[in-house]
Amino acid sequence: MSVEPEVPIVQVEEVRENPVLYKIISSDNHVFTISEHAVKLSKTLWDLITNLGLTAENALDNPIPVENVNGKNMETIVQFCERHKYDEEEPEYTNYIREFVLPEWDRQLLSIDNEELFQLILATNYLDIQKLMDYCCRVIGDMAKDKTPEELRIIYGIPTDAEDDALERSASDSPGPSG
Amino acid sequence: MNTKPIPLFALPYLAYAKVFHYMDPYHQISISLLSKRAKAFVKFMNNKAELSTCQIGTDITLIANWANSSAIFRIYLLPTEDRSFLKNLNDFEVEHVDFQRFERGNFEVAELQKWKNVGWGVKDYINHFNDMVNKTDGFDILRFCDGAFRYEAKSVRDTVGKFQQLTFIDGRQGNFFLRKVLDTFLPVTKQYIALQNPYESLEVFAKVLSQQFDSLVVNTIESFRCTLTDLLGMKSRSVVINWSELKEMDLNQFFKLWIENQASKDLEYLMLSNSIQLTMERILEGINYQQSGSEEQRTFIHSKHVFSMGQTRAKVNYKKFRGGLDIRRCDGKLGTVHFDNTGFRQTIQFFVWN
Repeated sequence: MSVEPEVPIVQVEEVRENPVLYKIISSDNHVFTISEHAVKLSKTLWDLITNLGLTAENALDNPIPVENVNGKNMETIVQFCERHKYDEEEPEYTNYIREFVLPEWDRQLLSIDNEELFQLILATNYLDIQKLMDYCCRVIGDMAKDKTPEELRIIYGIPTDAEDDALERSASDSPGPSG
Repeated sequence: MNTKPIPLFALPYLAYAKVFHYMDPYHQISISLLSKRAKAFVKFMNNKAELSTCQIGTDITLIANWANSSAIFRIYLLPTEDRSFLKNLNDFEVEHVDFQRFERGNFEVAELQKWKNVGWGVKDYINHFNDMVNKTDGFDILRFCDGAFRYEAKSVRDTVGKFQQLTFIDGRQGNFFLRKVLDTFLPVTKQYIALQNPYESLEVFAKVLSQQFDSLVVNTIESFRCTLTDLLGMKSRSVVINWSELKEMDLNQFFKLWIENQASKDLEYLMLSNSIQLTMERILEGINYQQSGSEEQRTFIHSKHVFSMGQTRAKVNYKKFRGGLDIRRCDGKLGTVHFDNTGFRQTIQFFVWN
């Protein structure tokens, strides 16, 4: 299958010690190149690469199709992974609010429309990128500051009890797989 | 830019759990008011407060402290036409609630919401608060402040539910109210802290001293002339009397009886802030003791239910001190007497080690 890229291939910084690069094709046929260190941040992609047996020799000849992520989100994800590929591993959660300051570069990257942020989280969840998920969720959690409960209802789209009940009723009324 | 909502509960579970994780508990509690589902989820997050306080005064204040922040419900009650004292707390209508957030180490309000009441009573707010701060075993502290005397003590107990420590923030409630509170709460109270004038009613004061609390702290308005009989009558595990007048001979007798295992068998900590300067030599006259190096730092850890809080945000169950004089009970139990003359008053502490 030959795919013509519709957007420029994302340029990655050449790493002399580890020049292995992989190609990823988004759901809308955009092609991205990503370094080995960066792609390892995505558990899903790295598992796929390992299972497919891709090596330094054949990686660029075997692009990886990712049907659940569009080009726009993939571009953000590749940028994020390249930026954080040499970060040290974060300590595990505690029960307390984890104290971290979202770096300015990441805050800028994630300063996007709420709908785009929603889609990016779905993509991040699918690709299993822990750090990006943490950062996105932190951005969403921070939206609660200085808001009244009613403003929070609007921002987070939280249904009222009556709406939840109605949703539940319609879900139970809808026919099942056989019906 | 951010025009549309982020439908929180339409996100994958892992994502919205993380969003809640990164929120301040204050915001979690705000969201919990929006629906049953939101409330259930906040409860499921189990963001247990380190310390929770219910303060009964002219208004009702519920305080939850976490490591990095605090959330406070201030429940303002409508004045009633019925001016009689001892009204049922739950009969008061809630006018509105201020909900405040404080950050660690900062006494300025970081955020404030004003909620109109939606037909809830005080008990409804308390139940919701306890659910959201995951204090299923009730409040850590129940504190009576100025204005609390207008509520009937039994109705406070029924509305507030369980708690661990009973505290009076000032001594102006009067002895009638104190007596009612003691009669109502004593069987369930583990800790008792009060500011009171012992000579306003010695009967009430003696009753307080002789109760078997895990911890008893009495901050007296007037210096209390504490005798050997008073010391021997105290049954609490931990006793603190701020501002006492104690004679050397009484304390000497007390320690001698303790060594013979004839006094305060269950005592684990005694602290007296004495207005008279006592001399160590006369207190320990005729008692074998061993002096510990004054540079040696020692840490005393209280038993399970004894803790102090004061202005701190979390429970503290240990005390650090240097040096001290070790005495040994006839059954081998070790006690340490510690004198501190650096403050306005002389402080005498007695630690009984486990």
